[in-house]
Amino acid sequence: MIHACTYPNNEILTAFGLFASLYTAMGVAHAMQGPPRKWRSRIVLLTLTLAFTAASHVAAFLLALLLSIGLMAYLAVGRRAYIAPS
Amino acid sequence: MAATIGTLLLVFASYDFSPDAFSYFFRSGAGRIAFSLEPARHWLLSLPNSARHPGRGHRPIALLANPRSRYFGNTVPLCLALLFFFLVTTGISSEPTLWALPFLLTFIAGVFADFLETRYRRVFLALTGCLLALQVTLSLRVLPWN
Repeated sequence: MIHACTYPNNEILTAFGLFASLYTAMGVAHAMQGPPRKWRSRIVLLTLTLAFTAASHVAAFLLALLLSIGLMAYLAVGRRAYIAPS
Repeated sequence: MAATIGTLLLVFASYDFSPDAFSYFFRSGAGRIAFSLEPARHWLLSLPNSARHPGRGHRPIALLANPRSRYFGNTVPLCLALLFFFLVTTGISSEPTLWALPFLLTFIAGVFADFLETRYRRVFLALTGCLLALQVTLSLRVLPWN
């Protein structure tokens, strides 16, 4: 990891982007138990982390998206309809 | 849903709002993945990572012995780290084992934090201190210094 941090490459951006995306998704799911006014800033943050991941690696973005949806569906009890409105 | 749309808009912006360049994001085949034991085997057998093996080896056992986590869940980072250790990107060359490291470190830190609250705190601190010193020494040895 130290070696990957010492020169410009997309792998380290992907690693941190993936980590940030999944933990921010968990944060959004937890925030969904609270009032909707607290959701917006976290969703913006999730958008940014997913965008960084997508810009660095396509496969990582798809994985981040699928895993985020899975984790949010698991955590956002009673608010699952908001994750992917039909 | 909003985050996904926003993400695609930001990626579209990163391609300078060029539809042709943006469509390459979907056409390139870079998103293809598969699973294999090879990356995990290669990573586990490398010398710079050897100091982490005792720590990583006993932490799943520690997780089973002390499943209650105080600060954050330890099972999710372990599952995600395992997932990325067996991942192979067939579309383009990549290093999914590096993606797994933040999750692995989170898992180790979580179990470590939980064990610091038990009566074995001092022994655990000494053991982890030795492993950290060994890891730092091995990692510094393989860094390119020139």
